[in-house]
Amino acid sequence: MSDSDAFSKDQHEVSNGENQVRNVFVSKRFSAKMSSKRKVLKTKGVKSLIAGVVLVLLIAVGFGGFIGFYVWQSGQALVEMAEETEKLADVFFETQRLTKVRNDAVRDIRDNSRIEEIEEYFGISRAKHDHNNLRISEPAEEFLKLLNLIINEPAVVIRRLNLNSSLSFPVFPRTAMQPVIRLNATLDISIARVF
Amino acid sequence: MVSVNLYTRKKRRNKLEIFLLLVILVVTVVLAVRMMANAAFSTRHLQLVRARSYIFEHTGLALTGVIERDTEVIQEKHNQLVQERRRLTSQISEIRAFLQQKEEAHRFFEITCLYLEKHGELALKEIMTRIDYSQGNGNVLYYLVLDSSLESEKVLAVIPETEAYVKLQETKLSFFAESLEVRHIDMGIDKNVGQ
Repeated sequence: MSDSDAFSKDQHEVSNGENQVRNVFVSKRFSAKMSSKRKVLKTKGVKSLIAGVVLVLLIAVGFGGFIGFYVWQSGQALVEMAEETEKLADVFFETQRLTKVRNDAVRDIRDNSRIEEIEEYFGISRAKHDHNNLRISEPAEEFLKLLNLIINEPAVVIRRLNLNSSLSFPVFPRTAMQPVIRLNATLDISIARVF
Repeated sequence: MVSVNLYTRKKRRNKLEIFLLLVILVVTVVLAVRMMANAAFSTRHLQLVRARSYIFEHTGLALTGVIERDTEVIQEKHNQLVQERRRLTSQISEIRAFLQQKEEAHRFFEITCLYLEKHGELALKEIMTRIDYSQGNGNVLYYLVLDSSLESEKVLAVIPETEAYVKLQETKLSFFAESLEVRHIDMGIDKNVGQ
């Protein structure tokens, strides 16, 4: 492109109110720039003070509220969860220990129990736990066996026992005949609540 | 000359662009930091859950991954376990009280048997006439038919490890044959005396 063509194209008539100038030289590039459509982002502006305040507020709210508060809240929640988990762990292990103790005790009682024989003798049921005024009247040998059975029965405890011999006075020793001594007893027993 | 305020227009245009860029930058940074914080808390939460996975599995807890919700679930399970622990403690106390009674009764009859056996070794005959037992305490009355040539002091001193709460009262009944001697033993067992 020659300089004369460029000069002719760059000559424009400018009408601007009262000031009217003809054949004003305007740069081609600037002319194109001025005539192009302006975008809002490039034409509008924000006052520095407002922009600064908005930015500061945005940073403060963003970091302070959106992050700081979130971190604080989540941290608190996490700490609370950790504490609850620790408490849960304590109670869980304590419960397991107690369960083991109870189960061991119950198993020991059940495994060594011959309560059916006692139930059969007295005609009682383990469904009821306390039995009062049970009467026994047996020869001494039989009585001792029964008493041994009750004493060694882990599921039964004797709360009260009143035993009387049928003898009011001791028999003489060195006699060929074995004395027949009958023992009478009244007893209260309790059956363990583990069955 | 055309009056064009290029400086002002340029300044305003740049301000809006920069302002918007800064706003976008701040929002992006805030969101990024928030995501990082979220990821950090999620990781910590996961670590906590993994560390206590044994408890969560055994208690049947289904965690959601949301800290607040998981904390509530853990609290509910904790309360359940506290009630379970209370129930177990009550059961164990009951079993313990039962075994305590059993032990007291067993000890009473054990001491009775021990004294009867030891005295029986010296006596020609031993005859038990009465037992009154209640809640760990009681009295046992029995007769010993002895050879009169036996030294009388040996009868009560035959048991070296005399229990602190066993009290023996001895009455001599020597109106039988000359070669025999009858003693009436009143043995009192009081568990509260030795404590």
